[in-house]
Amino acid sequence: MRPNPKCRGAIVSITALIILGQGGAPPAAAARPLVTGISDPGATRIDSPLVFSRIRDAGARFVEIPAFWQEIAPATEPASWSAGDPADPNYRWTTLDAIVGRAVDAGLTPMVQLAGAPSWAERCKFGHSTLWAACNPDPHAFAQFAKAAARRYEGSFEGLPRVRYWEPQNEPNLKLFFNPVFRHGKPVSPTLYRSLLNQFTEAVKSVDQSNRVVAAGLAPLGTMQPLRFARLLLCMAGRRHPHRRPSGCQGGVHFDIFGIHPYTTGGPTHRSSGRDTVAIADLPKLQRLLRAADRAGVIKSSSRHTPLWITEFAWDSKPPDPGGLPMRIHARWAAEAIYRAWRAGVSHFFWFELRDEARNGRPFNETIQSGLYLRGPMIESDRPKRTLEAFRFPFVAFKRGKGFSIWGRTPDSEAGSVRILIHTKRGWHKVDRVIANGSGIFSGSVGPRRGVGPHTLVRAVYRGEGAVPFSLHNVKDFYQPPFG
Amino acid sequence: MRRCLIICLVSLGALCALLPGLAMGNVPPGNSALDQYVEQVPGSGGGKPSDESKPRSPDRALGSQHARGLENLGPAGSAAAQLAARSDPLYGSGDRPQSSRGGAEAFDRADSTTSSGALAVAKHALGLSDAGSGLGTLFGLVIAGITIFLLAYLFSRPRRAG
Repeated sequence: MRPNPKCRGAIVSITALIILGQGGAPPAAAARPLVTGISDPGATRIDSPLVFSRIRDAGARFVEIPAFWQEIAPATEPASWSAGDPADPNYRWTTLDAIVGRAVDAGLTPMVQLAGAPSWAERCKFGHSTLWAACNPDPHAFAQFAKAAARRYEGSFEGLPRVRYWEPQNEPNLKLFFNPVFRHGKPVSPTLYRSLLNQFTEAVKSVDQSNRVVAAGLAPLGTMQPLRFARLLLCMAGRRHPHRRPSGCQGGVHFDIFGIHPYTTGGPTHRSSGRDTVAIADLPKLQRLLRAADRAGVIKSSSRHTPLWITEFAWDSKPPDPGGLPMRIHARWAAEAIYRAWRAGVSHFFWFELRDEARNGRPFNETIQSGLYLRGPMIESDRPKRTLEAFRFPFVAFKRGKGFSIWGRTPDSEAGSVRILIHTKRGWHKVDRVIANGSGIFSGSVGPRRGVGPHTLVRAVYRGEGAVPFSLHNVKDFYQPPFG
Repeated sequence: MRRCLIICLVSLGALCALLPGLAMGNVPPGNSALDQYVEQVPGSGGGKPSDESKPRSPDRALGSQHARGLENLGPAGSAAAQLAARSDPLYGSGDRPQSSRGGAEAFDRADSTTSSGALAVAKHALGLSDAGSGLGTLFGLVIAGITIFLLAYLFSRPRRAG
């Protein structure tokens, strides 16, 4: 039977709409991966393979490695040298070679952050001088250093491993790291950083087009609030409806991935009070800006939708920090933060740090105790926190009507069967089974079950390994500085 | 009478100590680089960084008549007008938060709707702010409890005396 012409027209129109609709829609949420990483500048410098094997055991695939320009480059600029040549004898790569080597040997993907500047490459002076800080660094000199680094780790230089992910500087919206922020009351750091970023990307990509640049890595608050910095960096205007400014960014802004450090002064659902601040619950604001910049053609990226990565996030835990989050909530919120980030479209999530920082007599609120391990006298004597398991096998469950919804990621980020259990008076018993996709992501909803109440504990079990039990009783948001 | 006065003073003292403590949470002392990652609980002036905020003009802070009156008194009067403008509760409030939820931010939001920090605290304490629940209810209960206690004490005294 042939349909009549009117009916056929309607079928064709509906089919076209479905196809067009599918094409324009973002990839199905459940298909998106969630890759985890660790950022720990102190631990990664420890000469022990244990550091990287622990990072790998935490389910992480990535590790952020800082490389200090001031440490690798000569203290004074030689009259004659090849700054873009990794074999130039003035460079001192030994420490970085060893760290990158240990990371790759452990099966991790290194993301190298080129930070700070030697004084000869700076074009201003600022009060504090640390390995991390840079005062208006010369973009050409920085690009030469980036080129030398990218060539050194292109995968065929003196047997050294390949590094594909590169970050220029750290948190350039903080005067702690990047100066000047304002000049005569007007913001200048976004413009300075844009120039640095464009030359950096060109240098890194000139070595290998498949190299990826992770830009910004902005702090959540700061001397210049991150959304304001990002708008100025991308020559955009407007908070609710971001649009391209009529002038600026003529050649575009060149990078592949946008990084953010959305530390929050509360829980994973806490929205910050500032209009241009970005805590983890404010990520949609940043996504809106990035999508608008993508549409306006400002971002010259390797992908149509510029990915958003969280390259640092954490809270201090109690113990050891008396002002930190109690361990039970620390573990719960770590899993929930990963879930909320994933829901906001984040594909890569880095936890800061692997192990608690040494205090050396300093008060707790001046040190970082957000590690996945409680620090011991030696790394061998560090003890895992409950949060380690929540990070390795993130799993959340929320009450929905008489049942509950679940989300998780398997520890090895691989497909498989996951059992969902609830805890009742008679102990743990299975209520459902879900299949994790190729990225290890699983989600779903469990209908009404006997024994499910507002305080029921739910857990996921994958290949015999259990996630940290997650209570259906919600922990309300409260004031909590990220570092205690 | 003396005993009554002591009880009133102690109650008021306890209330004064409770209000900021509860409203601010455990705000750490601000002396560390890590403070850059902590959302400030703004004063009545708001959350804008000091290097970005601009003082209001004496005209706006005091009203043009009073400002002119002070400025007519010479340099000392002008300085007083400037000082008053700088210490105005709305100083630097150009960057007010648009949305907030609970806790310290609820306090901030209640604050932003009034010209007086004390009034904002009282408003929030009585649960009159539009910022929803959170600490406001607790403040209300504390105030109500102390008031009931004082009234009960005052009314019970004459009977005991008789």
